[in-house]
Amino acid sequence: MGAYLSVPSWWRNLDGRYRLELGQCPDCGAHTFPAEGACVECNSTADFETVEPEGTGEVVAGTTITGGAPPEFADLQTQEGSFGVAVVELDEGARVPGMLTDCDPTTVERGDRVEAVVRRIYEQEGIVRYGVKFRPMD
Amino acid sequence: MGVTDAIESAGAYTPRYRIDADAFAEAWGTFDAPGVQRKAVPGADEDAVTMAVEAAKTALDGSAHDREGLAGLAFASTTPPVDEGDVAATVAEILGLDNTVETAAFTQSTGAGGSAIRWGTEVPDGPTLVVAADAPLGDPDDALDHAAGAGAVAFLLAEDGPVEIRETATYTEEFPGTRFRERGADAVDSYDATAYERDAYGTVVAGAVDALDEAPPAIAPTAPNGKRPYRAARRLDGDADVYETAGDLGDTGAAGPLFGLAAAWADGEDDVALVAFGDGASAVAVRVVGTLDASWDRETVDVSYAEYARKRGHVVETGGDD
Repeated sequence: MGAYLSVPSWWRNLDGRYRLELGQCPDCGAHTFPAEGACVECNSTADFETVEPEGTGEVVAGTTITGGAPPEFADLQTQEGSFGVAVVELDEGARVPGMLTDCDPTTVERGDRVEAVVRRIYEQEGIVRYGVKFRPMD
Repeated sequence: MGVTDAIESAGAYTPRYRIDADAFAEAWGTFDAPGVQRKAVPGADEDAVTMAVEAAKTALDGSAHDREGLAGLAFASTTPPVDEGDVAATVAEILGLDNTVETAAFTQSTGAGGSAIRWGTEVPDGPTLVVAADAPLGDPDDALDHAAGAGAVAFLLAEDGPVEIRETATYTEEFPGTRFRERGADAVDSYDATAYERDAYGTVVAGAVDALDEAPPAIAPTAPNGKRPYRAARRLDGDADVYETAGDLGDTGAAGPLFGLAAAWADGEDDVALVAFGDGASAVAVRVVGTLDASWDRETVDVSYAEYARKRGHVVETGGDD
């Protein structure tokens, strides 16, 4: 079973999905993704200032999905084979989960530099869900 | 001409994957795309929208204008992800353009890029991104699929820039049954009468170029394959050099003439007519003077025919989780 996410819920956070918009804490300056809730650094609940990151960062953890992907990713797995999923620490400091693209996922390691690109994440009910994936930098 | 009749910056994008003509010949016993040596293959998670975004970001990076200052966004493609729905709005949202931006999607024709440029110069009241992105698809045993490539080119139109859009001209004449895609179908089709198709292309491309006040020394026409543009050029008055990227990237559909223009610039040409031809048929010739850099160099990876067939969805039942 996939984790179904309605289109209105998806839409509510488009700035995060498309451009990784971060919340900057007015108290300590740390960045939180997504830009809602409490600051990941100091737990302040003061309103974030939203900022857009460069989109570059490094892999801090990753894994390769070789089979049994959720149904919304079945087409991708059939067409592209195994794909990587990683936690990326952006240069601004926020940690963001994302799929890897344009690479052999088994060659991506901790510390590798990656950049954000927008790709088709999946298609459901005839609607394409676009969002950020990460691509290894040359 | 309009208020934004200069190209300030440009960006081009091609997917990471490539396939050689030899890989097709090995799979099919034949390769039916004349003049195509290799071509670009989009990943399964790419489409005209994602490629447009990549090219547009590069063009924005090269511009003095920031994205909030853009007045218009034109998107051109024969392969929008939906038959109806403003895909230009999706591109604008992903890029983070201001909500006041005016958008337009040009589709149903490989000449869509030329129409988008004309719209960009005339309609929005300020700097405008014009981006053509395409990944045509044919039936696997059809020459159209053997030629089908992928890529995107974006131009940022502004009041001033290194390239001046000096003149445009059009030519329209019906040639039914040349390349078309039936409603609801993914694969492009054609009546497949080669001499007739060549005549349609040659007549309409030459008609648009001849309608320009001044004959350009170079042309960058829509390139359904790597041969037809050269054959058509023989019908032109004068001795224009021909630029196309189908030999290396395949048929990039609506983005084709914009890629051709970028290739002409890379070769030092500074007076070029981009000729956006769409089967059916009509063409828009856009004479531009000056040069810009729009490179699509990147690390590429060759794929086998089997990998190609999977990435393009030829051998798998796709359509999402339904």
